[in-house]
Amino acid sequence: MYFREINLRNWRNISQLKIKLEEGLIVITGANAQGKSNFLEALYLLARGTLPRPARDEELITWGEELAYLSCKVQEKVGDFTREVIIRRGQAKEWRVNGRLETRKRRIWLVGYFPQDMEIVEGSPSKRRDFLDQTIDLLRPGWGRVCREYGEVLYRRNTLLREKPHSELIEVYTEKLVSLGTTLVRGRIWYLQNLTPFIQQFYRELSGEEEEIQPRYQSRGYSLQNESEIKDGLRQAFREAKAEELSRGFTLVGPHRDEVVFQKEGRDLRTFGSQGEKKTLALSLKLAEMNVVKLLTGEKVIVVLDDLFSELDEKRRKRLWSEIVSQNQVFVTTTEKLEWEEREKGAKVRILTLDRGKIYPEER
Amino acid sequence: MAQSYPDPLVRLISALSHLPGIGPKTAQRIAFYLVKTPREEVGELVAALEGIKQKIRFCQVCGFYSEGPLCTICSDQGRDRSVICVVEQPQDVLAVEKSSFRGLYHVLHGVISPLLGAGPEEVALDQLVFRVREGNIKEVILATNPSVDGEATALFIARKLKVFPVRITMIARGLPLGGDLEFADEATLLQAFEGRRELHLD
Ligand SMILES: [Zn+2]
Repeated sequence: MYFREINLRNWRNISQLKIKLEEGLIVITGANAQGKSNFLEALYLLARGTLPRPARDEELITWGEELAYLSCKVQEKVGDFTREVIIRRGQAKEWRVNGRLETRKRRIWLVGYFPQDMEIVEGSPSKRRDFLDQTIDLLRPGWGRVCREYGEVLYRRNTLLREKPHSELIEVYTEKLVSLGTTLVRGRIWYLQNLTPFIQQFYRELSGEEEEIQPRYQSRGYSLQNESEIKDGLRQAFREAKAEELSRGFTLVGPHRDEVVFQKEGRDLRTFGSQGEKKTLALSLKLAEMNVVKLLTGEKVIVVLDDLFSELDEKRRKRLWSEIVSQNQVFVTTTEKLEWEEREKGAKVRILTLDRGKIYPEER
Repeated sequence: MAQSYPDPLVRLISALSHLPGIGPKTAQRIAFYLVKTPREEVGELVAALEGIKQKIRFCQVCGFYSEGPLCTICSDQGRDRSVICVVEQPQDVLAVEKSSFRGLYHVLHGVISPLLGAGPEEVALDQLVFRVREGNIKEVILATNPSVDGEATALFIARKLKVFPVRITMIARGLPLGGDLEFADEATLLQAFEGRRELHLD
């Protein structure tokens, strides 16, 4: 699967960009603030339906314009399809596939690394939960719906606890949170188990260290001793928390408060890791994601790496390159002129330049 | 002074714009149309409006529309009187009638919705409990809308009814996301009824 064509209008600082693409490595050069990251973010949004970092509509649409339009033509093993998204201020994004409103999301397998992905390691627990949930949503149809429904039930339960603590009615929402929550926790643990060997492998290779990273799903307020007893554990936690929930007026336990910790020799890297360790971990998480997606779907993925290669030393760059070279299509941005020795090895490399929101099919 | 429409016209536009789904522009368009409509046709509309106010009320047993104390469904002795299908609104009855269901109904006239401040007292629940307690009811099918509020309402009702020896089932939630029962096509509804599952509450 790869992008055959990209068409952007009024997207951030890019007023108009249209380009045909092929498989292989696509290097996007240009000075800072010319639109390189914006270009990659557009690819990410088109493929995954969310932005790599949250932004308001006003930031997405070129200043003074009514709407932003993004489209891509995607080549599949057999056949192709076109996806479009129209963004209007204050309105839900309009998704279309082959010109028709998209009701069931077609999958575009894309994994991205952006500088702000350090947040997955350093940021609040919600960043790590989202990291899991967003990819599970790609892998398991219906996952997003479970997450949304859990959020809606939670919102109602909190309203009741705060404004109208009707005990019997709260029970209904508790039971619903227990059953949806069990699905969420099971799915996250399943995915984290799939990720773990890859995280460990990449961390080891990128850091050159022997110590292993230990990812662990940490439940908040309920026992996870036995995975098969998640439901009972959650139910019991809600029973125990009831009095405190009523006095504080919101839901205190459940997967919306869970955490994922990454330990190295008993040290939590979020709190005690060095910048280097955190960066290596963030990159390992993304490479692990890429491999799990590939493993579970049997599809090669599209990779977008924003401003990453220039920060890595020679050894890590080589290791990273050997990992992504086997993928279908890889987008890389860089401010420097890198020596792409791979070009001589016969890999397909194309260099594009972004300058003030315009794309040029050559190095400048 | 700027001219405005004559008072009777202003009054009509204002009354029309209070109807659900009709904004000021549509209200004006309908009003202008009515001004040009022959008197007999308008008379027919007025009679119809008065008719629903004088003759239509809600069935005392199930809450569906009726002309007498009982609706045509509750008075029909040919129907299976041991099954009650619970729906949110009277119009949902007609949607379920498109399926093969031929039992009785219970219309809640609302839904429990914490976000709108609507608690259990806002739905016609006591009457349902009374019917299940007094009648020879074998099964209650909960067919509220497949929304978060609709499902919570169904689960709340199920808890209220679990002390009685009745089978409580819920229609399969295979209806389109956010889809109201009223707009469900027959195939989806049929599947929903066939796929209804028994509720086991702990
Ligand atoms: Zn009736």
